[in-house]
Amino acid sequence: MLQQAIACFDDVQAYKQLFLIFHSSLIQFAVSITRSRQLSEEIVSDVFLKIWEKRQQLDKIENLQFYLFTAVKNRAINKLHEQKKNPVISIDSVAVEFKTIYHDPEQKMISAEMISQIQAIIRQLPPRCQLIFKLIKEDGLKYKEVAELLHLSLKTVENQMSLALKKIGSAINFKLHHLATSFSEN
Amino acid sequence: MTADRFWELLSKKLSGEASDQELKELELILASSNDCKASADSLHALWQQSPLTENAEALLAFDKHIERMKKAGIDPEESKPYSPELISRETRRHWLKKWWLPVTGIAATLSLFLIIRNLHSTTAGVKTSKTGIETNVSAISQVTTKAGSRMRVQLPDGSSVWLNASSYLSYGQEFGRTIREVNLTGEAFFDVVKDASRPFIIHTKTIDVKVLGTRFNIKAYPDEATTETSLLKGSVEVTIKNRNNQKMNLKPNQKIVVTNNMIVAGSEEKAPVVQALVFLQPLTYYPTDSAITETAWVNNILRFQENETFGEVALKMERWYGVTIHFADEEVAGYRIYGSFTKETISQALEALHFGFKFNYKIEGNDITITK
Repeated sequence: MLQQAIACFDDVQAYKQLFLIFHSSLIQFAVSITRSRQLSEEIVSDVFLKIWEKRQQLDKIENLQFYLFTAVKNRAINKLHEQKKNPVISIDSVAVEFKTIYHDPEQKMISAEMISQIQAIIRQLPPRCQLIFKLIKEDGLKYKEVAELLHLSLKTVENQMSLALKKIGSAINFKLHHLATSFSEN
Repeated sequence: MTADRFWELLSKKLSGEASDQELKELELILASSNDCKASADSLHALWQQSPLTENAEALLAFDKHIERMKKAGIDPEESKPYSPELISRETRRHWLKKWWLPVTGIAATLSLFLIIRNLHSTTAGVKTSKTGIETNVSAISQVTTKAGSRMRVQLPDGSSVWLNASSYLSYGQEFGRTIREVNLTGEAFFDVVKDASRPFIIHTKTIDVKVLGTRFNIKAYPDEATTETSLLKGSVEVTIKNRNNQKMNLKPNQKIVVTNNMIVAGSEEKAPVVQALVFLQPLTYYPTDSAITETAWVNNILRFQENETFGEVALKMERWYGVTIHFADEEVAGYRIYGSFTKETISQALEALHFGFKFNYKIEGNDITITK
């Protein structure tokens, strides 16, 4: 819908919306390749500049989200080449921020304590696993797309996702057990 | 069943990647284990949480991004005025406050599409135009604006053309097949979609303009002394017909002015050279808001500057308001006058000019007489 608004009507408002929706995800992804916040800002801005220039053809892009991630990746690799750095997508020591893991008071199923436990667990996951989990859970990318973006096999993506869920799930389970035990003691 | 299989199935289900068979397998596991069920429920709840809307950072980044774009010579905000509406006085006031509704855009595009379709059926086969332009293109679709009206036309390739008053635009059935060719009499602002494989060519009486994709204004009124091409973005190639088809390339913010009549040049001893005169000038900016004067009309502003005579201005006013202006005194026609009008009626505009420059006027219906 936004895509069409930009494509058909030179719509600056729609363009802004698109930018706001994808900005933080794309920045994080770019940082995971470049390790530089400043460079990543430039890369994402460059990609959106291209989007504006190509706006008339925008409705021909089937999967805009994947297109944006791919464009950011390619741009990032090119930038690193320009700087004579060896571009390898090996994500380590890059902290991934999650926007969907927070305590929601309305959400009875997950307590504030559980959330901080989950956050701690995620931080202990290997960086690559964190990024895969983030791209799938939060950015809604498909396994296949993540595999392509990070040059991994589909099986690796599946395994990393399972690992993330297992750790998080076990932490929740532990909390549940703990709660049940303390309840029966009282 | 291994525990790992459970986590694999659960992550696939939550990510929307699980097949029917895998979903069934997961159901069986959940039915057999309370622990698994509890974990699945909690993770499902976690999956449902929508992202925190923390937009401040992204908003700042967007402002920065727009700044960068402007430095690169692209201004998305600038494209707002060229909205796909029939340009009307009422709407002009609103688009400063709110961006125009896509719905009106669709409606305007549709209605123009209908106009072109109708013309299509009535004018098919008409090959010569009333203006006497040599048409390289068999005129199939044509749009004419009367004095006092302006409109936007969408061409089959997606390019937009804003047609000023008393203008005529036509293109043939083969438009866009190998090249994109149109004929123009009068004034138009073009926003041409980039397509390097199909050049876009505008034919006027005095010049041909060839582009690949860019924004520019062409003024080619037969009753004016010159034909002007003003370039905002990209590059264009102008071919001057009355000058042995000499070609010139324009850079952004330049305008090329070509005399419509051949001028006798050269010294008396040698054989006189008869050809069009060409001037290359920068675009003019209006001092108060530094908007480009050449394209002000697209934003529904009638604007003229200090170097224009009342006689030249009167021509513009005739087209803008759909009136006829006579000068009872030739001296007044030579006055240098300037002004800028948007919502004013012709009588308000004349009244304003009358205060600034010494002349009198009389309005009788659509006829206006200017006296000393």
